Amino acid sequence: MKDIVITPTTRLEGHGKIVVCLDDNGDCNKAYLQIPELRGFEKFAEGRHAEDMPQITSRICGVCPMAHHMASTKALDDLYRIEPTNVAKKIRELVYSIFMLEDHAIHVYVLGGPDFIVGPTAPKAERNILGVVAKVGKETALRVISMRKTLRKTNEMLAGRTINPVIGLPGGVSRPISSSEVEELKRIGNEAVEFALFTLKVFKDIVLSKKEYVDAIASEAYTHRTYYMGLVDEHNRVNFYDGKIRVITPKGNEFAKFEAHDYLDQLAEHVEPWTYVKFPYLKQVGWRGFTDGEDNGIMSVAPLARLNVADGMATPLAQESYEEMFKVLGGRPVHHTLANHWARVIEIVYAAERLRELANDPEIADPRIRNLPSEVPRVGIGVVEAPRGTLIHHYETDNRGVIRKANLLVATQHNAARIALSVDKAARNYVKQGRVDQGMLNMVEMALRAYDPCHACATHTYPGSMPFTIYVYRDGRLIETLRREFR
Amino acid sequence: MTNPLILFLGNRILADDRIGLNIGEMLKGTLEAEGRDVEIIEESGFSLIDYLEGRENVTIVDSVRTGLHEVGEVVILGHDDFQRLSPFASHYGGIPEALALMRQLDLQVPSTLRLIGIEVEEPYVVSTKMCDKLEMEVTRIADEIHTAVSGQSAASSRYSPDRNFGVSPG
Repeated sequence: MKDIVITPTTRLEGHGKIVVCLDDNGDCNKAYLQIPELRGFEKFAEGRHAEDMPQITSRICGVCPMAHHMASTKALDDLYRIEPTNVAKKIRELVYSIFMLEDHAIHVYVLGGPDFIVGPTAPKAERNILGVVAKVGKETALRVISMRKTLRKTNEMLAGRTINPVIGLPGGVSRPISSSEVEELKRIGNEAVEFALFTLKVFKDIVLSKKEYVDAIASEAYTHRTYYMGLVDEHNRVNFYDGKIRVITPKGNEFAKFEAHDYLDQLAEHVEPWTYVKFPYLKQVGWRGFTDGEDNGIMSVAPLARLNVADGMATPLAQESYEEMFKVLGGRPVHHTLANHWARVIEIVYAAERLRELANDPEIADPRIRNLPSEVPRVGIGVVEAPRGTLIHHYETDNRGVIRKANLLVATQHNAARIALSVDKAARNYVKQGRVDQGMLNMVEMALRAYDPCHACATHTYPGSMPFTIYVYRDGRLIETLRREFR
Repeated sequence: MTNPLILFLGNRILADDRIGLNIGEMLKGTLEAEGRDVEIIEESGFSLIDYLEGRENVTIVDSVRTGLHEVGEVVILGHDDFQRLSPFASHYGGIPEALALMRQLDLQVPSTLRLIGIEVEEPYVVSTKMCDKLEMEVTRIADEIHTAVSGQSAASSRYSPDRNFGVSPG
């Protein structure tokens, strides 16, 4: 038996290792993803003031600091039992829409996009941003860079900083939006919608127009019939910032709909000895191992899950795209993992439209940005939809607001079990008879990248943080250890 | 002609990784008075394009853990080190790719780009405290960084400060 190890997986946040085990015929008989790092972030939080958490947690991850900042801020609202003012909620959602748009665009063009835009079987050296530029042209690449820069500068203006924002406070936000800024936001909103529609066109022209790409999306190799989870508004439409958590069955029926505060009644975590990632599952269904189907509580989050659990999108252009995707892919729910890329593009349209709507909201420049908290803190739970899926922050404090216990449940954790299914299934389909060329190994990685997993978040560690070790087994015996220390 | 830019990188909750930020805060006033622009940031990779674009002379100050130097040693790193050292400090990982992208898009890249590393002990553990050695020697390290940035080589290095990356525009 021969083991193949793909490590580190590229264009992912953090550090993962895929082990592919071959049988005597050279076929894959088992593949799994290992996350070997653990930082114990929750332990670090103990003894710290809860008010510091929006700043501290935004430093866990270099990719989604705003998501942690916002989930943490909402946990503080709950902790102090203070409802933010209307305009504060709108400003938060505005800032959050800008963040989601930028983050998704980076994934489409830089992280996951190369798999499709450059081509899944293209040489690895070409499947990167430079390959994307060569394919889409310099003008398009400059437009992406320009839009990204505009969005980052806008959030720097609104949220204080792009990477470690300081806008969220319990009960509100730290600054109002001036009327001159509103005019600028309206202009940026229009530009963002144009950019989003342009991205949708790029995706359609380059990806959806190619039968082999659409076939890859719909391939059984990348298909798992699991439960799905995501936030929805009062009309069961996608919402990134607020709402109830909705779960649907693999057949598309509503299984549960609950407030973030009740997440412990709905979710439990399974532990495996070979990874630090815990595997959340639906408590009422139970854990039946790494299999899909209605009898197992494995669920998925991320863009496709959000669209699957929702009855629609809250903005018109995104709704059109939503309907088109489900029509092409055979109705809701869609179980094809690679459809996450399409769903992500649809969410770019939604984020841009929502940004434009909020910029044009007559209340957005209202100066009443905060209600001051006065209650004694105890337990605070906040939820948002991070780019990669549902993100929950849970703090318990003493009556001075000093944290006694913290729990962060992040998107990549929710997806961990399904990711394990994806890695194993893709490897079984594409690694056969000892053929393990780069294109095939990339197909395994593609399954992973579709979720846009963030191991830094999932293990609450920071990217690029550790040297890694490869263990090679034959017939259950460790025959070699390869350690990559710093060069 | 733009002022030389000094970028201080780090993460405030990752133990020794905050050294770049601390040094930046110590030197910011002095360096700005000397006609340099200073940015103290917790960003990395492609985000650094926003800081590099349109600049002629950029110096990056960051923690590194090479195992080749004493903790606290200031190291002027050369062109060959740049690619090799990406695993040592996440903040400038991706810069070679970012520069390649900038060239491909005809964006102005710095004609002079260099990295000053500070050898550290533990840059990956979640902690707001640096190791004792760095805490004790932070003033000496700041002085050496200042000297190195000013072009007078006091840092222990395998490369002289004027042997920078030599990145050509376009």
